[in-house]
Amino acid sequence: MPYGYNGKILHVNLTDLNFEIETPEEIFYRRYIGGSGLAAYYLLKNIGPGVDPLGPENVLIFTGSVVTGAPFSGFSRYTVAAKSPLTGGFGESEAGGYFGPELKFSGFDAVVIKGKAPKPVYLWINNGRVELKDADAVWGLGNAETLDKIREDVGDDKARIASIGPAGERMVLFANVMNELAHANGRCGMGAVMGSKHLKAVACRGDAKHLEFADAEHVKKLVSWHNQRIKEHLPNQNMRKYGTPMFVVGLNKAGILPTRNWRESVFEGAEKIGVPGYEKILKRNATCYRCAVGCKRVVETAEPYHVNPRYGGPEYETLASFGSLCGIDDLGAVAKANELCNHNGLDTIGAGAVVAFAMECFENGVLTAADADGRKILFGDADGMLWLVDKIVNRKGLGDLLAQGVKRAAQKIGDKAQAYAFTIKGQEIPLHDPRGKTGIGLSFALSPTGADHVETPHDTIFVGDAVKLLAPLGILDPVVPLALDEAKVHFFKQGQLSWGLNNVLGICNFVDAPLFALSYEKLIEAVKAITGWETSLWELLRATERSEVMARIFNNREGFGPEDDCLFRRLHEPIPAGPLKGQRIDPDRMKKAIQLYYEMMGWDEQGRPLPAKLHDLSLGWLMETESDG
Amino acid sequence: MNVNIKIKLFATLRAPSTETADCYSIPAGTTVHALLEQLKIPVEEVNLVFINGNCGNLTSILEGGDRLSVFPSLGGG
Ligand code: SF4
Repeated sequence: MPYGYNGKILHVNLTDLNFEIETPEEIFYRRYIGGSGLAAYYLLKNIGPGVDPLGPENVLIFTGSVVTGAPFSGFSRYTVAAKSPLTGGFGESEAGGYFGPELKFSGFDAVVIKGKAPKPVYLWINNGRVELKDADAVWGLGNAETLDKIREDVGDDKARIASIGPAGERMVLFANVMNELAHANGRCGMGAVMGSKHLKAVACRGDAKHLEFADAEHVKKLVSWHNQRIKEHLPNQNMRKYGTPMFVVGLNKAGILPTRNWRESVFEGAEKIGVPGYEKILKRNATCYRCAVGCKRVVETAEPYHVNPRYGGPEYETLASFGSLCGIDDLGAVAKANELCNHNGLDTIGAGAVVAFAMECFENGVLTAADADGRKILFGDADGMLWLVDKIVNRKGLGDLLAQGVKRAAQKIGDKAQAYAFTIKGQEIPLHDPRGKTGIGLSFALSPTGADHVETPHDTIFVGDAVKLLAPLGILDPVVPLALDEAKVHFFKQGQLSWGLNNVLGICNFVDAPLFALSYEKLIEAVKAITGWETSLWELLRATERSEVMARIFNNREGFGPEDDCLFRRLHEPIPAGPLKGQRIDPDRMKKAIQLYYEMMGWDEQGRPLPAKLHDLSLGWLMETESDG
Repeated sequence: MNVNIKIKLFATLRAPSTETADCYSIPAGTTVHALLEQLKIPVEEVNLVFINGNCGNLTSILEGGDRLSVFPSLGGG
C-alpha cells in the first residue's frame, strides 16, 4: 500500500461533467513525485503544441506531492499548472496555506481538469466523493464571499477552497488562484485558465488520519526536531519576527530594490514600506498548515485605505511591486492594493508591474490623460495605482488593455511603449535585480515559466563561509554575487536542483535546507519515513532535473528557443545610482553563460535536451514529442 | 579577561570602526548579540552567523581565536 500518498489521481472532464479515477503504480510516484514534476508529466501527456491556453483543450492541474500533508512545518505547498496564457509556455505556480494538505486528505494526490463547463461550476471533493456543483451563486463574487458561500453550500465550515475572483472569471492574463484568502498561486495566469473553464473553485475536505506513513513514530520524532530547530535557528527566528517584509530595507541598502519600473535601484521610501513602517500596521502573524514558523502577516490599516484583515498582508514581492516599483511609499495604499488583488484574484507581481509600466508611459507622454478618464497617473500616485487595479479587474478602458499584461499592452499601445515594457517570455518580472546577483539573472532567463525568483538560491546569501550550507550540493567555492563566470553557472545549475526540489516535493523554501531549519540529511530521512522509500538526495535531485527537462521540452515544443532565454534591456544598462552604481549585465557574457548551462545540462546549443539525457532520466518516451517541435 | 577574535562582516553590514577586524578584543563570555550591539550593527539586519565555519546564533558565546562571519538578509521569495 502507498505510504504518504493516496495512489489516486482524479481526472475531471468539465465539458461532459464527468470524472475518472486513475491509480498509477508506485514507480510513477517515485519518478514524478509531485508538484512541478507530476504537473509537467500530465501537461506533456495531455496537450499537444499550439493549444489555446484559454480554450477547453488546455489542461489544469492541482497537485501536491507524496509528502504533502505530512505534519512537518512547511510541507503544505501545492502546484497549480496549465499552459500559461501569459507566456504561451509551461505554466505553474505554487502556494502554501491549507488547500494542498486538504486535497490530499480528501483522497486524491492530484486533480487533472480538462474541457470547459457549459456554465459556472465548482468541484467538491469530500472524503473521496466527487461532485461538480452549480457555481451561479458565487460567480462574480470576490474570494471571501466565495469561500463563505461555498462552505455554507457544502455544509462544512472546515472545507478548504482554492478559488478565482472576478479577475480570473474575466480572464485577466495575470489572474491567480487563491486559497484561504491569503495564499496565492500567483504566477502564469492560472486563474485565467480556471475562468476560461468556468471553474470557480475547487473545494475539498478529508480526514488527515487517512494518510498513513511508513514509519509514523519516526515522522513524529523528525517533526519535533524540525520544530525545535525552527525556534532556535536565526533565519527562521527572523522570518517569524519580520517575515518577508524584511527584504525591503536589506535589498535597498544593497542598492538592488527595483524602483520606478526598473529605472532606479534605490528607493527613498524603503523604510516606510519595509519593516519599520510595517510594524505599525502589523496586527498579528499567520501561518500555513502545521507550520511552526508563522511568517505570514495580517495587517490593519486606517482610512483612507482600510483593509479587510481576512486577506492577510503584503509580502515582500507585493511591497516592492506596488511600492518601490510604482514609486509609492504609502504602506496603507500598498496594503490596500494587496487586499484588492487577493479579493479579486490578481497576481500582485503582475499587477504592480503593469501599473509601473503604465506610470512610465504616462511620465513620457506615451499614455495621456485622454487614455485614463482624464487622469495622468505618474510614479508615486497611490490613488491612481488603486484606480488602475480596479479598472484592470473590471476590464474597463485602459484597464482592459493592461489586463493583457505588459507585453501585449505595449504591443497595442505602439512602438514607443516598448521602451518601458519589461517581461521575460511574456512574464512580468519578480522584484529582484540580477545586476546585484547574477545567478538570479540566469534563473530569470532560463525559467520555463518566464522570470522566476524562487527556483534558485540568491547569490548574495551564500558568500564567504555561508557557502558551507551548499556543500551537500557540491558547491564548495564561495559565491561571488557580481561574477558571471563558469563557477556561477555551476552554482546556478546545482542550486536550481535544490530549489526546484521544493517545487517537486511541495515544501516551503523558508523551512527547508540549505538556509532554513531542515537539513538535507533530515529532509531525506523525512521522505524515507513518510514513503518508506530507501531514497537519497541524489535520487530526489534527479527527479527535480527530470521535472526541469520536461518543462523545457514542453516549451521547446511550443517553439521557444535560445532567443527566449534572455533578460530585458534595463538589466544591460548600468545602475544609475547607489551602492552598485554602474553595475550592468553584459549581454554577450550572459549568452555565453547560458550556452555553458545548456552544455552542463546535456542540452544542445538550441537548448534542447539531447536524446542521451532523456534516456539518462528515464524520459525516453519524450523523444517523439520533442521531435514534433 | 579579554580575548581576541576575528570578525568579518558581509555585504551591507558595516561597523563604524572596523569592517574586517583580524584581531578584535572582547571580554570573555561575550555573546554574538552583545558584540553586534557594541559594534552598532543593527541586529535586525543580521540573518546568518558563522563561527569558525559553523552555523551559529545570536546567543552563541564567543571564545578566544574564534572567526566570526556575519551576514545580512539579502534573499527573496
Ligand atoms: S514558513 Fe511561512 S510561508 Fe512557509 S509554510 Fe511556514 S508560514 Fe507558510
